[in-house]
This record gives sequence, C-alpha cells and structure tokens, in this order.
Amino acid sequence: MGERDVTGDSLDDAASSAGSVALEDRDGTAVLRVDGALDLALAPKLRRLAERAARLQPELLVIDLTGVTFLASAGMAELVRAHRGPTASAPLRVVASGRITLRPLELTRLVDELAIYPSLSDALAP
Amino acid sequence: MTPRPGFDAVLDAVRRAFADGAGTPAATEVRPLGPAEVRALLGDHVAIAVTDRTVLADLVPGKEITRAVALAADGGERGALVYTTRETGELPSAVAAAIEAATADLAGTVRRLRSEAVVLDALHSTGRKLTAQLDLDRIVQDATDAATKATGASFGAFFYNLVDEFGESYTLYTISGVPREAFSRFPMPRNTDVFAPTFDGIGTVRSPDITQDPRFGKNAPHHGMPEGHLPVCSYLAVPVVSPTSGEVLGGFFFGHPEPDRFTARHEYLAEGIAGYSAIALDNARLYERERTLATELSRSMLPVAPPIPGLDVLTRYLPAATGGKVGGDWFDVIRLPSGATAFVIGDVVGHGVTAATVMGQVRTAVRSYARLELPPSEVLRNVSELTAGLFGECFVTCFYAVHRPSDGTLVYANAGHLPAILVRPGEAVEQIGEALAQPLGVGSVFPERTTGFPVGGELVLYTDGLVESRRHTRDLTLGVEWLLAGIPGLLTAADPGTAWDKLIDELTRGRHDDDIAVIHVRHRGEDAP
Repeated sequence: MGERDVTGDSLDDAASSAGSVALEDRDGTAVLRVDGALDLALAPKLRRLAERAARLQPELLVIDLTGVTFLASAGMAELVRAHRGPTASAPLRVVASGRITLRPLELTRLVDELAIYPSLSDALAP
Repeated sequence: MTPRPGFDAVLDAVRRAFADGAGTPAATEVRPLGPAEVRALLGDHVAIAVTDRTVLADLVPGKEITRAVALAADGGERGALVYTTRETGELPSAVAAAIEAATADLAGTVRRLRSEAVVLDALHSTGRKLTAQLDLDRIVQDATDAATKATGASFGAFFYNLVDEFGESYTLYTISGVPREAFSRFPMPRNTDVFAPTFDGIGTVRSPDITQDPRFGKNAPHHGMPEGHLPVCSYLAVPVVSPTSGEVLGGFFFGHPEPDRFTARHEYLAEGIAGYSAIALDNARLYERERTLATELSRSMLPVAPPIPGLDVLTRYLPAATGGKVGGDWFDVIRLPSGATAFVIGDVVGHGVTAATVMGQVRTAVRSYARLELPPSEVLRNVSELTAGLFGECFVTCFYAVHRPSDGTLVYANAGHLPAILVRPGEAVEQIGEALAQPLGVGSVFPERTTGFPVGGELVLYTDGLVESRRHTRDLTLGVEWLLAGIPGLLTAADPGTAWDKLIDELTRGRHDDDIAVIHVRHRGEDAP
C-alpha cells in the first residue's frame, strides 16, 4: 500500500469534508485513488502524488475518481496537468462514473481528450 | 498497568520480614488493592502497617489477622496488603517505616516528574489547539483560559492590540476566572511603571506581592489599584511578542489575592502559552490580511456596469464568505464602439492574491480583444493563447456574449464555463452555450453560436459558486436545476435586485465558500438606438 495524504486541518476552515489521495503501485501501473471533495484544498495533494507517481516511471497512470463527491475546476486543472503537463510521463486513464464527476468533465469538454473509464477494473484492463 | 517486577521483590522482602519471636518466617498471604483502597489505606504513604481490626475485617473477611502491611505501587494505581494470622513480633511497622524512609526521595521524584509530565502535556495540547486555528476571538479566549488554569491564578486577563481599518491601534481584552463585569468598570491598563515591562515587550514580571513592588502605586489618579479592583497580591505578567515582526501583540496578566502564589514553574508555563499565542495571533493576522487583500483586489478590479441604452443590467459579486478562496471570479460589461455590448463572466482556478492578479490580467485581455470587435470565438482563442503563454498552465472558464442591437442577436462562445440562461418572451427558460469548448489555457478552438435576443428577453450569466454551494449539495446538476426553478419568480419580481439577493441566499444558505458572480441582462428595448 502506498502513501496517503489527508486534508481537513483546521487551518483550512473551509476544507470540511476532508478528502484524500492514495497512491498505489499495481504491477507497473500507478493508481491514484481520490476520495471526497476534489477542490482547491485537495488539488495540491493530487498534484504532489501525481508527480511522485511519475517518478516511479509507470507504464500507465490511473486516476480513480470513483470516491469523489465534488469535482471542482481546481481538480480538473490537475487532471489536465497529469495528462499533458510538463511532468506527465505515462498515458493517463481517468475513472469516472456518475454525474458528480462526469458532468463537470462534459461541461469543460475534457471528455474529448481524457481517456475516461467507468470502473477501475476497466481502466486496468490491457 | 501491572505492578513492575520491582514491586514483586518488595513484596517478597516484606513477606520474609514476617517472623515470629524466634525468627522463624511466618506464613503470609497477599491481597491485591485497587486504587481507591490504596488511597484510603495509605494516603501519600508507600508502606504502612495496618492495625485497625475493622479495616482488616473489611478487606479480608473471616480471618483473624494479627499483623498487616499495606504497600502502594505505581504511584497509587495499585497496591497489596501483606498479612499473617500467626503470632509475630512488631516487625511490620518497622518494615513499613524502613520502606517509607528508603523510598521517600524516590516517591517525591516520581511525584515531581508526574506533575512535570502533566504540565508538559497541558502546554503541548494548548499549543496545538492555539496554533491550529485562525479565529482571533477563540484564540485569545482559549489562551487566557489555558494560561489562567496552568498558573493556578485566581484570575487572568489577556490584553491585545489590534489595528483597525484606518490604521488606528486599539486594545481588547479577554478575562478568565472571573466574570467580565469584574473588569468592565476599570480603564484599560496604561503603560505605567508596573505594566511597562509587559507592554514594551521587555520580559516577564513575577512578584510575590505586587503592592510591595517599588514600581507600584506611582500613578495618579489611583496610586495603585482602582477602588473595587479585584485584589491582586501575587502578580505575574508575560508579554506576547510576534515571532515574525518582533512587535508586542499584547500581554497576559495573572493575579491572586494571596501572596507568593506564582512559582518559576508557573512563569515557565505562562511564557510557553504566550509563545504559542504569539504564533497563533500572527497566523490569524496574516491570514486575515491575505483574505482582505484578495477581496479588495478583486473588488477594485470589478467594474460598475455602465448604463447601456435599451438594457437593464444587474450584477452581483460576492467574495467567498468562508475560507481563503476569494479571488478567482469576475464579470465585465463592455460597451463596444459599434454600439454592441459584450458580457463576460469567468472563473480563474486558484485563490487568494495570485488568482486575483491572474483574473485582473485575463479580464484586461478579454476587454482589449473585445474592443477590437473580434468575433467571440476569436476573442476567446486569443485570450487562451495569451494566458497559456503568460501563466503557463492555467485553467480559466469564461462565457463571452455580445448583444448586437442592430439585428437583435446574441453571439456567444463559451470556454468551459457553465451555460448561460436565456429567456425569450413567451418561451420556456433555456440554457445556451453548454459544453461548447474547453477552458482558456486548455483549449484552442472556441466555436460561437448566434441566437435571437429580442426586446423582453433576459440573459443570466453566473459562476459555479452559485450552484455548488456546500450547504445544499455539491451536485452541480441539482444546483443548476434549483437555479433554473428560481428564474421565473425572479423575472416577475418588482425589485430584481432584492429578488436576486434572496435567491442567492436560498441557493447558498448564506454560506458560500466560493466566489459568486452574476450578470442579469434585461432587454428593455424602448430607448434602443
């Protein structure tokens, strides 16, 4: 099991519903599982762990948004960064099911360029 | 907690000490004692001979105990009663006395270490609590309560300096240990000889009896404490000094009516809490400054919508009410040379001063291209290239619409922003521009659409803070549905401004943790050129 970052420190009094990001290495695939609100408070943690994942030089990076309860612009900006930012090194697959995460991705037309999968097992399938 | 091995050895030694007159060991038994029994039997002692028959009968019913010694272990958490029913000499009391003598020092040390640990725990937990919050009022009250308790003062006060919006400094205080009214009749302590070391940040003052201090009672009109002042004899005062600026933020004052109540230990504790308080106050002030700066910056960059012939334009901008997320949203209403009007609403990802400054530049860029009367798709394409070049990675959503009164149309493009709401007379509420293109800084192609915007038409542009309020749900789909449901009532309202304030309040329950910006355009038409 990999590393885990949890927000919700009282210094950020708006963070309320504490989210978390966990990094797991699955046979050469780096899986970042995001839970809770992927907003301004959690986005920097996703970025940190995505960069850490990139240093592992995985064949594939999967960001699993199944447990995300709110997808803010700040979170989507990190998806774009992981997909085509300067530190992006592996192909990215995003797991998103349900309108909470899909709707914002549709409105911003990120669905056009991100590879989106309905479940983690679909994303992990060769 | 189980008694340590050392206790078993002591028990063995004590059992061996039970012997008859000839020195033959007597058979003994051991009955464990709980904490309450240890306290009742031994008090502060480590070992004691128990002779009271009633007590012994209670502890070990049905036995004729002749001699017994009670022993305490683990600071009174546990103990044991060693007893015999045989005839023995007076040894138990001698044994108990010997153990007492041998362990007296040790027991004292253990007690001291324990109280030390309690003190450290208290200081640490106070520090954690204080430095983890940004609410000034709570910081000062928590700190005053903690310090008053830790010093054993009968009352404590914390006077702290603040600077108001005009740059004038003023002093507030919190009280602990007595009702606030006990202090309310007295003037603020002035920078007299007694208080100077504290208010000047020179150092701690600790006095066994402040009334005997040479600095005391020098100042008119009271020459000492004002009448009716809480009686202060023992006195302890600690300055609170900012670790970043060295500025004196305030001071803690502790009093007790009895003399000589404050020890070096209390002084150490009070100084520790003062140190944590200084960090907490610094944090709160810096946080507040950043938040205020971002709010001011954002507000200063937002326009007052100019009067537009034939249109009623209502705008709202509410910086995030909670948290430090102010700064990213903006709107603009631009009169173009041709007589058309451009409406812009957008959201820069990020918060605080950084987001506010990026927003200011993006807004200016949009304005510049708009005034060149480039088509909406070209305006957004240029701004997207510009922002990507200026800020590297950025993510800015923006809805751009131009109303051309000459042909009664609305031409718009949308860079990843929420759709706009359009209501034409006699038609249902509709959403326009949904998912047309990616955000600025991300996308490169921004298709535009044209639709009719006749007299009597209404256009609403808004940012996500309005529909993603935490108090309801963070489900965007539902948030938009609720907003759409509120639109018809808004359109028929006699006073649209009040109606909007009410709707915003309903949608967010008055607690939005993101900025909210709204533009509502009503095509009135009668004075159209």
